[in-house]
Amino acid sequence: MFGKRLIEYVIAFMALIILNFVMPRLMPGDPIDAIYGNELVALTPELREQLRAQYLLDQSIWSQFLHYLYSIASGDLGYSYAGKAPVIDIVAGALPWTILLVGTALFGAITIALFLGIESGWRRGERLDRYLFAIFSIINGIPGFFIGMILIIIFALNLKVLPAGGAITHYAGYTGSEYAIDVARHLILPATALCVSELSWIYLLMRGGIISVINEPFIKTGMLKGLDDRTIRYRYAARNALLPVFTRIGIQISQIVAGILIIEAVFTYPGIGYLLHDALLTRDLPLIQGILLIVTISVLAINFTMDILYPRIDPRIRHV
Amino acid sequence: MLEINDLTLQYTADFVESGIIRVLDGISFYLKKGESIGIIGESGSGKTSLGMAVMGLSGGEVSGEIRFGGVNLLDLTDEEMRVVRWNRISMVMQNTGNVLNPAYTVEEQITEPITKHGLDSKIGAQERASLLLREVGLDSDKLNAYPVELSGGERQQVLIAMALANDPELIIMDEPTASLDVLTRRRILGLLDRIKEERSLLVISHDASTVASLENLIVLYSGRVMEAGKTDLLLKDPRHPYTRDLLRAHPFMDTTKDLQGIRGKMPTLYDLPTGCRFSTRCTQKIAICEERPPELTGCRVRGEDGSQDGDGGTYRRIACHRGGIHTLLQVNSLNKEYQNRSRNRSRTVAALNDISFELQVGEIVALVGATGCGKSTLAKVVTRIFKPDSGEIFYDGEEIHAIDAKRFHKDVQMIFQDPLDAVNTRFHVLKIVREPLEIQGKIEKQEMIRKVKHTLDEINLPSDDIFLKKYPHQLSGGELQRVTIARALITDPKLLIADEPTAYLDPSVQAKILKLLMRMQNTRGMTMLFITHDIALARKVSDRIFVMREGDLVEQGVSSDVIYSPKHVYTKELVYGAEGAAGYIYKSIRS
Repeated sequence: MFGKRLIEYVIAFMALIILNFVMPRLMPGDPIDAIYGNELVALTPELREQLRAQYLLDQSIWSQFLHYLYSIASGDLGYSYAGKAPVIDIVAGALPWTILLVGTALFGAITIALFLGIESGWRRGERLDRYLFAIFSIINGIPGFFIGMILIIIFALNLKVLPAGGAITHYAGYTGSEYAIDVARHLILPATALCVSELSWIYLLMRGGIISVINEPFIKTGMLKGLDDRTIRYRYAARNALLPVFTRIGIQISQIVAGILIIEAVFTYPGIGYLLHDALLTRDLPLIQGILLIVTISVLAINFTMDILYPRIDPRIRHV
Repeated sequence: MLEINDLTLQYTADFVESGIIRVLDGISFYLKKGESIGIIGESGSGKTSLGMAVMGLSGGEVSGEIRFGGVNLLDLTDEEMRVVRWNRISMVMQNTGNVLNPAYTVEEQITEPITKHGLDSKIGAQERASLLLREVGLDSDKLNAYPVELSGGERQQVLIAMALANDPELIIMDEPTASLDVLTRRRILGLLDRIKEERSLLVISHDASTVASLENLIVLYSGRVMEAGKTDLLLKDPRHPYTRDLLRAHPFMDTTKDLQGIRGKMPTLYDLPTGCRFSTRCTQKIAICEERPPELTGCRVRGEDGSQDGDGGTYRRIACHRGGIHTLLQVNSLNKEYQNRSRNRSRTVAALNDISFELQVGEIVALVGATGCGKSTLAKVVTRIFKPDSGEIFYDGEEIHAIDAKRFHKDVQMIFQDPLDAVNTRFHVLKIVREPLEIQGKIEKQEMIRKVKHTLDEINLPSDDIFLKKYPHQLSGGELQRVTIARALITDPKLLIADEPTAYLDPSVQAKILKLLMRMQNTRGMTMLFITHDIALARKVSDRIFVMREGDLVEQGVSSDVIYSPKHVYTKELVYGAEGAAGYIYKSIRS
C-alpha cells in the first residue's frame, strides 16, 4: 500500500521534472532570445555561440537532460539575470516567508473553521448556525485578493495601525523581540486575508460533514451509551465528518497555493508568490522555472503526506 | 421493574392536517425483574420508537409513564437520564453498517461507557472488555479490530458485549437477529438465552422466531398493542386476527401452507383510521370497528393442556371489538344417515356421525378423507342443500335454517367438483356468472355486466363480449372451473366451500386454480372450507386440516401439526401413504 503510493509519487515527480525540462524547449524561437531577449540589445554571432555552449545547447538532448538532472540534484536551478543571483538562493530567501504566511493562515483557518463548522452543524437551524452559515456563505463568494484589499484600505490606509505591505520594516535595524513583533505586524493582514478566504469553505465543508453524519446510527449509539454531549459531538460526529473535509483540503492544496501567490502580490509580501509575480513581469525565465518546480514539488510533497496520514484518520481506508 | 402506562409518543409535523403524527398510542405493559418480553410487529409499527422512548431518546412529545425501579423516567432531567442510560438500561441498536463508530476500535468502544461513566480505570475497563468479548463468544484479538473489519454476526456480538459493559439491569435489543444467517442467528439466540438468566430483556423484532423463547410477548400494530400474553401460548394460539395473519406470513420451519402476506397496507401514521388501526385490513370487521379503537382487554385462552387459565382470564389481553378471531361457522353434533337399499333389505349408512367443528373468519380449512367418507355430504349439509338428521349449524351466530335463503346464499357459496354438473350447459358465460346476482334481487343490467366483467378480470379470465357469449362446451376444463369460481365469488361471499374443485384438472391447471383461490381468499378475506382427498394438496393450501373417515371427524388441527405429528391412526395412514406415493414417484423419476 505504502510502497505503491510511493511509486506513484515518484512517477509523478519524474513527469514533473521532464515537463519542466521539455516545456521551455518547446517554446518557439531561439532559447537565447527567450532568455536574453530584453537584456541584450544586440547579440553578436560569437557571443551567441558562446552562450549556446555555456547553456549546453550545442549538445544532444539526452546529454542536456542528464546535465539538467545533475544540476537539480546538486541544487542548481540556474541563474537569474534579473536578480543577479542563483535561482536557488533567491527562492530559498523567499520560501521561509511563504511558509510563515501559509503556516499561520492555514493553521488559523483550519482550527477556526473546524471548530465553528462542528458547533454550527451540530446546532443546525439554531440562531448561531444560521448567522455563521450566512456570513461564511457570503465570504465564500469573495475572492481572497479582494478581502486583502479591503483589509489594506481599512487597517493600513484609514486606521494606519498596520503596515500595508512587505514582511519587515527595512533599515529599522530591529533585533530580538522587536524584530519578532515587526514580523508579526507585517504578517497580520496577509495572514488574515488568506485565513478568512480559506476559512469559509473549510467551515462550510465541516458543517456539511457534521450534518451528514448527525443522523448516522452510531450517533444514536453514542447517545444511548449515556455519553456527554461534547464527547458525542467530537468523538462521534466530528471524528467521522472530518474524513471528507480532510480529503478536500488535500485536493484543494494547489488552489490554496494559487491563492497565496495572489495574496502575496497584493501585500507585496516577499514570498514565493511575490517573487513569481516579479519574475513574470521581468520575464526572468530561469527564475519562473525554478519557482514552478519548487511549488509543484511542494504540492506533491503535501499530497504525499496527506496520503500517508489518511489511513491514520480513517481506519476504513486501510481495507479499500 | 419496568412498567409502562399509557405511553403516547407523537411528533409535530406541519405537512399533516392535524399537525401531529402519533407513533405510539396508549401503550401499557410491565416487565418484572428478571423477566423477558418480546415486541413484534411489522416495520413501522413503532417498535423501535418504543425502545427509544424508554431510553429517553425518541424526541417528540412523550406522555404517560415509564416507570423503572419505581421512578418515572419521564420526570428525570437530561443529566439524570444520562446516568440511567447504559448503567441501568442499555440498548442494542439494530445491526446496520454504521451502528458502531467507524473511527474507533472495538476495545475503545466497549471501554468508553465504563470509563466515561467513571466505573473503572482504563486498564480495568480493558480487562472487562476482553472478558465480555469472550463471554459473547468472540476472540479477544477482535479488541483491536475496527468495525469495518467485523462481519455482521461479529458486529452483533460486539454490540451485545458493549451493552453488557456497565452491567445494566435491563437490556433492550432491536432486531438482534435481522440479516444474520441461520447459524449465526442461532448463536445470537443462544447468547440471548444466557443473558436473560441474569437480567431483564426486552427484544424488539419483526421476526416471531427471534422472540419465541422469551416469556412474554406483545404484538404492536400502528403504535397500538393488539395482543399481549405468554409467548408460547400466543404463538400457538393467536387470538387477534392481526397476530394470526402476521404469524401466517412468517416462514417457520414447519410451515406447510404457501406463505401469504397480510392483505392491504399498514395505514400511514398521519392518516390513521378512526376506529381500530387494523380495521382497514381485517377480515372480520363490523361497523363499530371503524368507529372507535378497541381497548386492550383480558380474554380467556386455553393453556398448553387445554385448560382455561386461572388468572381470571387476564392472561391474554387483546384489542378487538369482536373479542378476537371470530367464529364464522359453528357445527354441533351433526348426524346424517342414508338408506342403502339393495334387493329388499335396507341398510342404514352413517354419512355424518356426530360431527362438530368451528370455522374461523379468514382461515382456510382443508377437509381430507377418502371417497365416500361423507365430505361432500357435509358440504351439502352446511350449504343447506341437504338437511341433517340432527345437530345444529350456526352461521355468524344464527342457526342457518332460520336465515333468509337469499341472505344465506349471498354469504355462503360453493364450488363443485365437476363444473359441467354445476352449470346449465345451455347458458353462456355471462348468464352463468350473473345468475346469483339475479337471484339476489333487482340490479341494473349495466351494473350487473360491469360486476361480471370485473369478477372475470379478477380471476384472470377474458371479459370481452366474445368470451361472455361462449357456452360451456366451448371452454376447457380449467376455464369452466374458473367460470364457476367467478359465479361463486360474484355475490362477495364470506364463506366459500370448495368441493374437490381441481379433481378433474391436470397438475399445472390445478396449481393455477389453487393459487387463484388462495389469492382470492386472501384479498377478500373469506373463510374457505376446502374439500379434497389429497392430503399433499391440503397441506399446501390450508391453515388447519380436518380428517374424515366413514362419517367420523377423526382429527382436526393446525396443518403443520397434522402433517408432522398426526395423532389418529387413519391420519398417519394418509400422511405416510402420501409420502410413500411421493417417494415412489421420486424414485421412478430418478431411475
